[in-house]
Order: sequence, then C-alpha cells, then structure tokens
Amino acid sequence: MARNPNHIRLTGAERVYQVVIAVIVGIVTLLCLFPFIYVVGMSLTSEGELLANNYFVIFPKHPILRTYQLVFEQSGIIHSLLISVLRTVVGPAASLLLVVPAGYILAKDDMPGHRGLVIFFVITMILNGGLIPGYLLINKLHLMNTFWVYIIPAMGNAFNMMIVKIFVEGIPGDIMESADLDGASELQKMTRIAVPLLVPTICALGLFSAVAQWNSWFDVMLYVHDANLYSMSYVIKQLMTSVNVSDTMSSMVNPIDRVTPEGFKMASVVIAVLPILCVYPFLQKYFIYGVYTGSVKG
Amino acid sequence: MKKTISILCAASMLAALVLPGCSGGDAGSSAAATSNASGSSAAAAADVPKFEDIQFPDDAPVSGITPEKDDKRYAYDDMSKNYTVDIMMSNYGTPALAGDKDPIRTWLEKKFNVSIKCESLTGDDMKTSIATRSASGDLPDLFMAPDQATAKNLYEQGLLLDGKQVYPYLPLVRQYVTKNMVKYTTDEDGGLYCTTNYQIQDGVWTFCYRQDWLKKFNMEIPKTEAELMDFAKKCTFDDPDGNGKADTYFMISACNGGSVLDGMNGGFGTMYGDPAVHVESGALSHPNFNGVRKKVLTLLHSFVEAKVLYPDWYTIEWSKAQSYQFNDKIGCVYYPPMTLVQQYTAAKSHAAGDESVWTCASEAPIEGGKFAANGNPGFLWCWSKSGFSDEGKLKRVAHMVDSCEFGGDSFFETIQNGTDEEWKAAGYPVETPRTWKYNDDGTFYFYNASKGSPWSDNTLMTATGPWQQFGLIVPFQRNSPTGDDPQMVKENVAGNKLQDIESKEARWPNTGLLCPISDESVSPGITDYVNAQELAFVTGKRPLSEWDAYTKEWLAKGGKKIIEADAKQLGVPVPDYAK
Repeated sequence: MARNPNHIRLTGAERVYQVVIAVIVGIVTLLCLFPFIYVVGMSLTSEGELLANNYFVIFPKHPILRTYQLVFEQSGIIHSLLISVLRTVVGPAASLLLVVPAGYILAKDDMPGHRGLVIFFVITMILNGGLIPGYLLINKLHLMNTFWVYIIPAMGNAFNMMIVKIFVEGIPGDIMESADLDGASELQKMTRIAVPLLVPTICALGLFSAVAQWNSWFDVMLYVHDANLYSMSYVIKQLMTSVNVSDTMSSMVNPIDRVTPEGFKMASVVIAVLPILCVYPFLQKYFIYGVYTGSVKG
Repeated sequence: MKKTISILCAASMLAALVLPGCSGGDAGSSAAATSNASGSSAAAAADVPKFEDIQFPDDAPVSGITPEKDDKRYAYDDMSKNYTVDIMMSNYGTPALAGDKDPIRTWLEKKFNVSIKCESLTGDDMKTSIATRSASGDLPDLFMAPDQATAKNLYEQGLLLDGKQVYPYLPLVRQYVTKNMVKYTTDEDGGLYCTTNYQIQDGVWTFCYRQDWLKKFNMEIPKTEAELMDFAKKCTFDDPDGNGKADTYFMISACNGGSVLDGMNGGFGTMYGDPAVHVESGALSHPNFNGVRKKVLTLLHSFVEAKVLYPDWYTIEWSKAQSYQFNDKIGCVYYPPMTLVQQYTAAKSHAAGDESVWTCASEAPIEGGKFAANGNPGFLWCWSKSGFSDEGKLKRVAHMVDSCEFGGDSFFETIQNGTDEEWKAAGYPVETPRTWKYNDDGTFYFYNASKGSPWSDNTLMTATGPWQQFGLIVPFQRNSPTGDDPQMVKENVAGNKLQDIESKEARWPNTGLLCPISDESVSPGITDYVNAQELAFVTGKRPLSEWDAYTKEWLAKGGKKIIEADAKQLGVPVPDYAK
C-alpha cells in the first residue's frame, strides 16, 4: 500500500509524549468513571453477594434488578419524575426566551443607558441578596408552593445574558450592516441572523440550565410543601439521607435477593442521573459547527 | 394661591400618613375583643391549671397511664371555629403525602375542625428550613426543633411561646413529663422554650444474645465481665454457625467513625457507673475523673485485644452492620429486643423457630452494672408566637396534640400509620385489618399483619409515619398474642417476653438532664479530640496508663471550661483538678 504523502512522521520523543498523554488521560478517565461503575455495580448486587465480598463489589456475579423495581415501587417516584421532566423542559425554554433577546439588546452599544445596564447586570452576577431576601421575595411574589417557583427565579440569569452578549458582539458587523441595507428590523436581525449563528451557544446554555433544573432540590426543600410538586431529585435526596431506609430493607421478605440500603440508594442515584447522561451526547455535537461560512455577502 | 394650595395638599397628605398610626381606632373593638377573650378565658380557666400548680412526676411512669373518662378534660376548647395550622416534623425518608391523600391528616382535620398544612423534612434540611423561615418571619406554627440549641435560640429571640403557656392545655402529656425534663427545657431566666414528651424508644435498649450459640457453648447469659469475655471468644473462635469459616464475631459495634461508644458499644457506657455528669456528696462527679470512662475504655480495649469485634467495628455504619446481624454472623447486639425479633424474623421470611434465636436478661453483663436512664425527653415541640397569637388556636392545637398521647382519643389513629377506618375513609383499599387495644398493665397492643395494602406500601407507611411523633411510646407497646397466623403469634409472644424482661432492668437516675450543656458548645472542637484519643486508648495506640496525662490534656484543651460550666449549672463548687 502506498504511503500517504501527507502522513507526518513522528519523532521518538513525540511518540513517547503521545503515549504519556494517553496514559494520563486513561488514568483520569478511569478515576472519573470508577465511582459511576461502582454505583451501578452496587445497585445490581444482592445483600448475600455484598456480605460475601465484604461490601465491595464492582461487577456482581449474580446481578439483580430488585433494587430498581423497589425504587419504582415508591408511590411518588413516577409523579416526581414527571415534575422533573416538566421543569427540565419548561425551565430552559423560558430562560432562553428571556436571556437571548436580553443578551442581543445588551450587545447594542448605541442603545441609551447601555453602559449602566451592563454594569447593573454585572453587579447582580457578583452580589447576591442571599437566602433570606430570596425567601422573602418568593413569598411576597406568591410563588411559594407553585410550579412557577422552579421557573421564574431561574429565568433571568445575568451570566447567560453576558455570554449571549459576547457572542452577539462577535458576529461580524458586516452581516448586520448588510441586513440593515436589506431593510431588516431589529427583531428580524435577531431571529434570522443572530439566533441561527448562536445555535451552539444557545444549546450550551440550554443544556446547563436543563442539568441545573434536573438536579435542583434545594428550592424544592425551601419553597415547596406540596408533595404533588416535589421533583425526583428531592424525593431521591430524602431517601438517600434517611436513616430509616435500613429498617425498610431489612424487613423485606425474600432473603435470596434481598437488597441492601446502599444498593437501594445507588439505584436511586442511577435513575436520577441516567436521563441527563442519555441526552447530553446528542447536544454536545452543536459545539463543533462552523458558523461563519458563506454568511457574509460580497 | 398655587403655593397655598400646594402647602395645604402637602399638609393633608402628611396628616393622612401620620394620623392612622396615632389613632386608637381599633381600641374600642380591641377592648371588646379582649374583654370577650378574657371572659371566655376566665370561664375556661377554671378547667385549666396554672403552670405553677401543675405537679410534674419525679420519675417517668414505668407503664402507660390510661386516663379515666373525662368529658371536661378539654372544656377549654369549644371546637367551634376552624383554624389553619402549619406543622413541621421530621420524616422517615419520604415526604408527607399531599392534600387529602394523607388519611391521618384528613382524620385529624375532621375531628378537630382544623386545616393542617404539614411538612416533613429530614434532619439537616429541617435546620436549614427553620433557620430560613425564622429569619424571614415565616416560622411554622408548631414544629419540631432539630436540637435543643435551636429551640433555645429561637425562644431567646422572642419567636416562641413560653412552654408555661402551653402545658396547662396538655393534661395527658404532662403526666409523662418529669421535673427533670422540665428543667432540661428551661433557660437561665426560667423560661420554657419548648414542650416535650416521652421519647419514642425510651429505655428499650439492651444486650441481646444468640440463644442458639449460648446453647451450643453450654453457657448462660453472661452476668460478669469474665463470662462476657468467655462468650465473646467462643462467638469469634468456636465457629458457632458451623460453616467451617472464621466469619462470626461477638459484636459489630457500628460506631460509624464517631465515638467508640457510638452504635452498639453505647450499651457498655453505663456498666461501670453513672455516665452523666452529676453531683455526689455535694461535689461534681465527672466520668473522666471518677473512673467510669476509663473502665469502659479498658473493657473495649480488651475486646479489641482479643479480636472479638468485627474488623471494621469502628467505621462500619448501622445499616451495613444490620446485614451481618441478620445473616447470623454476630453473637451479641445492643438493640430493642422486640424490634430485633420482628426484624430478624422478617429477614428470615418468618421461618419457624427463628423467633427464639435471640434472648436477653434483666441483669447487666458486667457485675454491678446498670442500664441507661429512662425518662428522657423526646421531641422538642416549639410553638411559635406568630402562629398562636390567637389563644383559641393554641387551645385547639394543644387539644389535638394532647389527644395523640397514650390514652388519648387520637392515640391509635396517629401511631404506626393509623387505623383501617382512616385509610378506608381516605379511599384506600384495606386488605388486612388491624386490631388495637389498651391492656390492664399499662401496655397496648397494635396488631399489624403488614400484609396487603396499604400496609405493604412502604412509601405510604413512611410518609404517614411522622404523625406518631406526637404520641408513640415503644416501651409500652406489645404485640398481640392472638391472631390468625400461628407463626406470627409465636413471634409476637417471643418479642413480648423479651420486652417484659428488658423493662425490669436496673437503670441509673436521669441526672444528665440537670446538666444538658454539650461539651462542644462550651469548647468547640473538643469532641473530635476526645473521639481520637479514646479510639487510640481502645485500639492500644495509646496505653491506658496515660489516662491521667490525657485528662490533663483534656482540661487544657477546653475541659476546664466544661467543668466550670457544669459546676455552675449544677450549683456546686469547681473541683480542685479543674482550678
């Protein structure tokens, strides 16, 4: 086979370098993956096998699915899953609807009060009123014990606005000028030029917002008392921190595949993490798009 | 002219702003309301004693007090007006059920003409929530304090009612609140920052031994230190389960990485003397200096030296330890015996004979030893001032809480997930019935087959469990000796027998309640130091011959302040060793 004329021949030092990098990256990857593998392994291991192996099993010899069955048998778990899905879909959408136009506007240097507005938003990024003022505000806005307490406070993220602003400022001015010449309004420029060019950014912001919404439990604990509005992360968090899970597990009737409290908790963790893990790879591809090819008119 | 009109407008606006604040516009109606309230209070006061006249018992009752029927017990509450009450409790891993899905809440609302907003949280979440809500002026009306310090702090900030205003409305509760419990919840100025009650599992813990292993070793239950060590060695080295492996141990401890006396080792802490700081012959007696602590650590050290404890005895957590216990690897546990029989037999699928595996004795396993004091305060209930500004509401809620006590009208309806009728009324199918009754000896039966819905639904059971925090008392509970399932009956009888034995144990007086100061609050960081040093003594890394040197170090690291605080609390002089 003819050698590829474009093939670059590596020197010995470069080969060693590549091997060292591969080894380091491999070790770091294992260190990152090992806890997750351990969690999944524990969730599939029966009590008998754990006891026989001194409570340290990575790959169970006789895996069981009883733990997952138990988690889903918890009466409120499916409903809380729906609440989590709802806030993970609605929350980022609402946030982006506010943040993208706000960021676009902040990118306009010629807007009156532009500098003051930017400083105002930057201050809110650095300084926070704290827990008590936040609680008082939520209370006064009558958002306590409502679904909107998950959505409205998270909509106006100044940091995300700044990110959108920076990316909009990075759009070549020629594109906008050409749109002006074509008679486009600001809304048309935003929706037809800026937003398509910002798709990777918007997807990234939406993804971060979705993960935050999925994992969030503190707001549930503080602002929501109605069990119909509990998110899955909060329900699982309560299970994880309860000392009474062991009594529940030890009273189960089947000794052959009886689960341990640890296995139950690990299954809860896997169920909480799995949806985000499944979605993330599909959104990651948006980061590698080339955006400026053929967009500037001659 | 314009200027005059402007001045007049400004003056009238100013007057409109200022005058309403000065007016006693509501004085007339307030006076009428006050006199009405006073009138009704005066009429009701005849049924309600003053706090100073209440006779709290010296000691905790050893059995339940079944009250005589008294229609006037709650005459102070006319039950006419509906009140909304916000309650916060701790949960068992599952948040409270929503709305009318909670049969116990629905039942209480109907019976007491109240609308209940109930929230149940786990420990740390409760602390955060209460701190946030108190700072925001939105405290729940009635809530369980996560700890004594929180209750005291909130009271000192003026956010809580004095318990002296509440106890007069709790006639059943105060039968179980000892004088020492009242002192425990009293601050330096004589204010009661909360009300309390008996502990759910007060005085039910004891040493339980594998009866089958005792028979195999041809031994009786150990009653001396030598017998205990002999049993410990046989459990570990004589292969009691006969599987040919060296995988059995005397105890598993389950200290969870804290103090060496945490978990099941706690039972040994009371074997060599009163473990609490107390007064003897007018002088302060502290376990570090009266020999008690050293003897306990010496015993634990001997167990470690003999290798009779499970290797991870110090770090293993409770739930993992239970796995070994229920899988026949452990010879002795410190556990509530009735609960042990229930859990063990359930773990073994109720196989015949398993109800007799465990046994216990009234005597301590160490000569002269006694068991932990009972009469300990249970949950600390805080009554917020803002929530109970209406005395009628206070009376209603106090009435409701008091009725959940042993002997009260709501006792069986709130403990152990309630009754069949409540669940049926809430629309749940009930496949197996429950039975309950008071016994003549001050105990009660609560027969629960745990089969069929809703009893087998773990989520529903744990979600409705918190309601029992008002009144459940396990020491008075027995399992029904009758029923349709012969094996279940045998297990119930076995559990009852062990509980009866346990109830006869000799206990130390509850002197600890007179000195509730935590060492950590006086000298922050000292707990970690003590835990590390005691672990070193027990494992042999530090010889016990250095005990006196250790106590000197302890004094220097903050122990002196602790001794001074304890002496001041107990009203005795500071001992010479702490001067």
